[in-house]
Amino acid sequence: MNLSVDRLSKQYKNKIAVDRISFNLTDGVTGLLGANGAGKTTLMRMMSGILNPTSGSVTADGIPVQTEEYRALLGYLPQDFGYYPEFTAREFVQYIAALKGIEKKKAKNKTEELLETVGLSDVANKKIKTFSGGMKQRVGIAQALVNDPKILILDEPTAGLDPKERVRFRNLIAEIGKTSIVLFSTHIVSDIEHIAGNLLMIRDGQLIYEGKWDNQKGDLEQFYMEEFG
Amino acid sequence: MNNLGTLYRFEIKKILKNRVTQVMLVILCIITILEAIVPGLSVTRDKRDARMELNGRIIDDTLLNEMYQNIDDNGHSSTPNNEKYFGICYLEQTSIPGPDNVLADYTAEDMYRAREEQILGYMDDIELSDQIITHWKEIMKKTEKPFKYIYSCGSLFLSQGLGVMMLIIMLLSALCLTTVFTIEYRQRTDQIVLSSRNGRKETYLVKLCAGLSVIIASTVFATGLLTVLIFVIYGSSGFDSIVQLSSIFSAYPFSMGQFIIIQMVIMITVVIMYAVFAMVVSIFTKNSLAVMGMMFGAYLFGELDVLSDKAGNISFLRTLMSSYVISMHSLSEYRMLNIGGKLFTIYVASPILYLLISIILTVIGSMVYERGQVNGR
Ligand SMILES: Nc1ncnc2c1ncn2[C@@H]1O[C@H](COP(=O)(O)OP(=O)(O)OP(=O)(O)O)[C@@H](O)[C@H]1O
Ligand SMILES: [Mg+2]
Repeated sequence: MNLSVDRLSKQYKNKIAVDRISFNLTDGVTGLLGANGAGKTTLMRMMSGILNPTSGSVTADGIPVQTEEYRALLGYLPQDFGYYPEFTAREFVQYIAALKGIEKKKAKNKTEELLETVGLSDVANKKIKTFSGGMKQRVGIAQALVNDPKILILDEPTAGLDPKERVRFRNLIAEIGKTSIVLFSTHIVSDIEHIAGNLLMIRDGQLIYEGKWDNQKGDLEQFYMEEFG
Repeated sequence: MNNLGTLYRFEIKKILKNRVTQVMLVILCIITILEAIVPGLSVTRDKRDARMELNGRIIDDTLLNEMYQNIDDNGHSSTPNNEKYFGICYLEQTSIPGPDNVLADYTAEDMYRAREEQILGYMDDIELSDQIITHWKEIMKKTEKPFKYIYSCGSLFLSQGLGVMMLIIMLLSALCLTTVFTIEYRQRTDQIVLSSRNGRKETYLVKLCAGLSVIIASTVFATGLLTVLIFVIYGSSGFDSIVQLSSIFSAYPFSMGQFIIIQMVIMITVVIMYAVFAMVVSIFTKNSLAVMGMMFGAYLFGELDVLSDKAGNISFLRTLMSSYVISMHSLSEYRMLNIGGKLFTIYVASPILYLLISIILTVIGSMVYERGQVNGR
């Protein structure tokens, strides 16, 4: 699968949040780096079809982002995602599975599998409002994966995760990246270093680096600090 | 498509888990019970028994003369004798204009003629077209004279209760259904919903269905409860009484029972309109309070006499306000909708209008919702 972002721009009243960004993604994990306010969330929202770009396009093998066909391929974890306080973790993931049009029996199995994967099986029947920040974040990760997405967009998925969960998450993402396009944003360079085969860096809405990072270029962390410091 | 059923169940759950919905449903039950009990406090058991004594009698000269001999104080005070003749006295005093008539001066024929003259006089006053007046004259022939007396206490309380219930259902729609769509915005789940495969077209329809189900089920439950309570407390007598004994100037050939069934059917279309309005408009405003304001604004507008009483399709529109259609007043509404020479009473025009409004709102809402974005945060 080839995900193509073509001269994508988003202008708010007097602020260009994303400025003519173009790139292509294929199966594998891509890290998106950028300082606060660089335009990561704005870019990802446009790639998820929930924010109309000012100009430019997003297509997956030619399928436009506004279509149901595209959404069927998509898994998305928003940065500030919400939940229904009265729902349990299991209900929430099942609900999202239904929203994604997954057949009932399959949805049920997948939900159990994912709750196990993110380590929430033993609290699956507890209401989400009783969860800690990191646990909520894991519910979010589970819902994004419930339709086995071919395009997985994760906006700061590791925020709030403890070191043990972070390692578990990394392994999960690396596995999914073998057969899907995974784009995830983060501020933590070490998240990316180990698993991202590909890197995108944006500053003030513009793409300043695209491609593989190899250590001949030096230390990524140092580069990041220099660019965004 | 069995996941639509799952979606539906979750949407219902979201509505019912809402504290406000739970409170409103309890209030609906309490008010329904009060609707059944409170009117009985002013019309006590003794009064009701007295008024039912004459059930089944024909209101002719024999009965009128019997009343003239037994009535006290020209029927004005509440003595046991007067209670017995209460309904007949009310019919005669309302039919014959002028406050100080001595009842004994009139025959049954005088009474029925005076009633019809008043009806026709009023039709003239509001300048109804000849076509409509001729139409009503035909319909009025279907009401048999002399009238048969049946005391209609339970059915009267029931039809009055429906009007109040509708106000509560409006409150229920305004408070609970405005959140069906705004909850996603407020909880920030809209990002996930709108980016899901079925998060647009299907979700829109499922949410509408869930909201409608809750409101229709509440209405059916509350009217059912009120009907049962009324039957238990006041008995089933009176539902076969003609509406003219309660709404003297009505031209409709209905029994109270028929009238109540008509009201209940129309009420379902009214609550559908309330529910769709609350849900669809909240998609635009993303704000429950604004929608509540609009609904109550429209309700108050209906209560104001801002349009003239004259005939014609414009003033007819005001008669289609739900608070007017679902009330005893609608029984003596003679204005009709005239579309290309075809006439429609408010009982036909109003449900069609309500459903039409609901459909138009549904279509507009789908166009807006399916293009929904998370702009502005
Ligand atoms: N609705 C909006 N209206 C106006 N400006 C906005 C809006 N949303 C975002 N912006 C601006 O666009 C820019 C990019 O914001 P964005 O949320 O995409 O940054 P980000 O890279 O995700 O930052 P962070 O690391 O803090 O999550 C910021 O300057 C922000 O102020
Ligand atoms: Mg962000």
